[in-house]
Amino acid sequence: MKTYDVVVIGGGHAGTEACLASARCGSRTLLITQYFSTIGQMSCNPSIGGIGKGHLTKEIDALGGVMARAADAAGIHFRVLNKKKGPAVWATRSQADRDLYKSFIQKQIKSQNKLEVLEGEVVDIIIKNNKIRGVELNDGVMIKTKQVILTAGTFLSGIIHIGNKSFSAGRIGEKASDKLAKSMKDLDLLMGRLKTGTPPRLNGNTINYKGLIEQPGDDPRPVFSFIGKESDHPNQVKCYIARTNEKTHEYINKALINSPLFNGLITSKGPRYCPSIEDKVTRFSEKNSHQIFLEPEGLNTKLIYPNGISTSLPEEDQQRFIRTIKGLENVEIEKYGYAIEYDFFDPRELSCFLESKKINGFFMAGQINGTTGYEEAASQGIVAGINASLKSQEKDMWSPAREDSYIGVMIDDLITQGALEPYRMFTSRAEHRLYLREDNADKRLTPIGWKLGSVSKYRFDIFNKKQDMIDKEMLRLRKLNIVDSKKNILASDFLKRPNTSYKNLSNYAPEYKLADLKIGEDCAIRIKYAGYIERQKLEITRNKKDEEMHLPDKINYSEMVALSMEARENLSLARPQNLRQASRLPGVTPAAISILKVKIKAIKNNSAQDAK
Amino acid sequence: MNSGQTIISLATPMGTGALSVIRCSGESTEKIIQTFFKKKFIPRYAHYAKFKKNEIVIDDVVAIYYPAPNSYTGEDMLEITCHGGPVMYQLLIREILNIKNCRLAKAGEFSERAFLNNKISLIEAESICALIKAKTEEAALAARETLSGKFSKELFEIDNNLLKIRVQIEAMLDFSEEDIETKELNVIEQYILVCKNKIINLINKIEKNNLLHEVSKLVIIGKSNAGKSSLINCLTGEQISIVNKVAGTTRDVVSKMFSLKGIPIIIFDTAGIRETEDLVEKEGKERALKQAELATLILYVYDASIGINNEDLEILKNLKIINSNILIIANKIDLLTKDNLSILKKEMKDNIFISIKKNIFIENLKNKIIENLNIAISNYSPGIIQIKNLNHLKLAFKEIESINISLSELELIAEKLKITQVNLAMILDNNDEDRILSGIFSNFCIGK
Repeated sequence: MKTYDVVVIGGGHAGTEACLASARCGSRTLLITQYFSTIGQMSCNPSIGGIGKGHLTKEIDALGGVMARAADAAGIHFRVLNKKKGPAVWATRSQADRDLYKSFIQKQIKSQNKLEVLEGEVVDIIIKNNKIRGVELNDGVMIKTKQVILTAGTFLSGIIHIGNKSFSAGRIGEKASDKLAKSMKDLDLLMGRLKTGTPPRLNGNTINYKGLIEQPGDDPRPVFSFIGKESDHPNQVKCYIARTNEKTHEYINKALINSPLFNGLITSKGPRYCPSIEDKVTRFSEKNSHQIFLEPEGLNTKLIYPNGISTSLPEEDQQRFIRTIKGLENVEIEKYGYAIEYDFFDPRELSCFLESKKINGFFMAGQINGTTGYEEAASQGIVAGINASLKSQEKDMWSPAREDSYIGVMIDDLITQGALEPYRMFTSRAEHRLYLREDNADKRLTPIGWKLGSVSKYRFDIFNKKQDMIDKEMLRLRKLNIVDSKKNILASDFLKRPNTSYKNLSNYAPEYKLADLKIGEDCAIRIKYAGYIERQKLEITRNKKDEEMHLPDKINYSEMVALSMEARENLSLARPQNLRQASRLPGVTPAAISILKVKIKAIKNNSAQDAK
Repeated sequence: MNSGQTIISLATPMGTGALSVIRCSGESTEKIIQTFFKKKFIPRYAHYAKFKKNEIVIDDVVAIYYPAPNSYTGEDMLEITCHGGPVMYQLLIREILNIKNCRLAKAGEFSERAFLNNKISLIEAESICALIKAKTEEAALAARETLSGKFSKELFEIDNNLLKIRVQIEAMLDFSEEDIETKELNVIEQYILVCKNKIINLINKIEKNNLLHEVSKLVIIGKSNAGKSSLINCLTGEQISIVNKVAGTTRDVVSKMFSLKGIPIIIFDTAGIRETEDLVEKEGKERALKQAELATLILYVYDASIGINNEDLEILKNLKIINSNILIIANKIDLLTKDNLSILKKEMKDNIFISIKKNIFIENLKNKIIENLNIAISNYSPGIIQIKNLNHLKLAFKEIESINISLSELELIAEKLKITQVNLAMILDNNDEDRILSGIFSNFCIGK
């Protein structure tokens, strides 16, 4: 029987980051996927990044992950969103060529040391005494391991809906993992069902682009990876914007009766921020037009992804309403849109390491934890991969903190609040938004990744060089006096003002030799936010104390009558690991925190007495 | 063992007894002693000392210093026994709270600290939990009572406005790619301005109207020689009154603060309405009316030996239009014969009959005043809650005031508005950040 340190099930965005990270950290890792050829598949929108998501992508990169580099290698349209606002909310987004993306990821998987791939379907995860022992494949082959990372995406009992038709599938054209889903059901883990949807894919040759709004990429073109460069990018293309009209809405309204979302077929919850076009038309009936981004799926394909009209209407209705749209009058649909319902596991049963609290060595990452989005999946994947590897080496695992990263925010949200709808990242979820920026993701995470073994020497050297340059320039700026409106002012104070930039410095101090502009701008951003971040740091230290107060496993919340019913229920369900997580639960008021403190202390004293 | 912040609270219940005890526990205890007593205290020794702000003596107190770990909580502690009544202890607590890292104690927090520092046995843990729960509920009740009426309505309004602005701004930050119609920046600027003004107005209102102390305002009105001055002296007694000046009328009106059976009261000295002036005369009447409008209770005094005449009725009629809380007092009943008095009593059923000079029915008057002030006596002084509220309002104002409207700093605006709202949430106890995302999804069609 073959033995591995870590076995990863599923080759999507979570699974690939997980197996790569685990192997980078030094564990013998096996990736099991149904088909090697679908590894790194972008099953929905062919784009990486966006607001909040670009932040996640850069964080994955800072930890040595692959997503940002793949996006650079496959990106055919790059923009920085929110550029008119402050740098904390600047967000990189790219349109990717599906094939280039997939092949970049597959190349990484093939060339990664200590990583093997097996094509097959896992039908059971073998567990004894709440410990992982191995996995069983559909051909009866057993593989021994103590760490499993499950990244099954929408494959667990997935059901696709198009109109009144519904059938079992993981993605369109791929079968669901029903056997695994069945054996997972015996595990006594809390499960729920969610839904998501995808729009039809259009034949670009049948679109009339005349009269549509053109959307070129940014110039200068942003680069995703901290170790990437513009020359990594392939040829660039344009996107277009089309709009629905009243006629479109009329057709959709008429067809609603055939939509599984409206006729009661689909009952599970979909994301509020990614509604189907049916939803948009009914919920915001006063709006007589919605925009659609026409995004090319690649350089060598005619396929166009119409972003904004995810739908599960019957095929003929999809065709009918789309052809009412200007520019799409004669469009051919290549693949129809659909809604998919799938199983997910209540993430409140996970520890902050993404390991199951009930089953030792069982990690879960990605959509099965109730999230949506490639970036959300990939960032859980890298954390699960690192931790499974650390655990196999009997080292302390790593939990990213809310104040260090968006990844930390997401994991903490998931394990304390659960997923009432598919979870997507927004910058407003991060209380330390001014610190958690794209520009400093490397500063926040690369040293951690280096310590954990997930960052290569090559990347770490580049990182250190950049930080040295920034530090040197910061020193220079703190000493530089410039004259503004006949007043002397330090450059480091000048840059705090709104609408100033590093480049502008030369207007005020012509003799000053500017450093590399990228380095200079990074310095300017640091200076701009320094005061705010100082204040947030104070808050963080205040929170640290509560974070250090661990809630013992023994606590029986339902017996604590001094707590409100709501607090008791939420605490029992989430079983937070520390007081700060507890304080984020509904009903856990400051008074409840006091009561918990007393309880923790009482339990401690009790066990101390027992020891005597 | 000292833990971070120093907590302050009143250890004795409000409104009872001649003395009040204030307790402090935590690292800043020594700093408090230095600041207000300007000397070192011998541990566990009762010091008779002057509590001074700058060089002004606020009260003569007895203070005891308990250095850690030999104190109730196991931290450095100070117990100050000051003169009774809310006026005094509120003043002292307000001063102490100005020291860095000092804050009001949460319900049951002294016991909690005592337990955490092994000062209370394990058996008592459960009872402490129960205590925290009970005290919290009591405090919440008191808070709700103080928050009742206009103050809380305005606060909720500001909170709601802030939420609306934040929903707009967060939508602009998180969904700029979406086809959503957020408000223009200059509209948002207007909204912020309105919020800012509302907060500062509320602060002013609380401070000016002395809502802060939950002090009841008595205004004494009456014609010359009805006995207004003697009534004030009789009510305030020998108490050293704290004099403060309230601007707003043509002449500064001097007011006296005192406590009546433990209830803080501010009384408007009729020096403001000069005896020589004819009340029916325009200027004097206007000034009297202005004060009467703000009063919790108006005491209208007349000379029983003269009786109520048309002039009195005219004044009373005008008063009732602006403030219906009027207690009518017939003074100098000692000058009436028994028969005349009983006739008058029959005619003027609701009046209170007293003689200040002969000290007749004064106790009854005091009880009637308190009854009419209708103040609930609670262990959680509303006044202290108001101090906390005012602090948070001021912090909220500081944040919103520092906002600089510019698209390039939208994320900073968002940050400042968040802190503004967090401070309001500390008063309203509704810190629910989830409202923002829910607000965005219900207001805008998101879904590119």
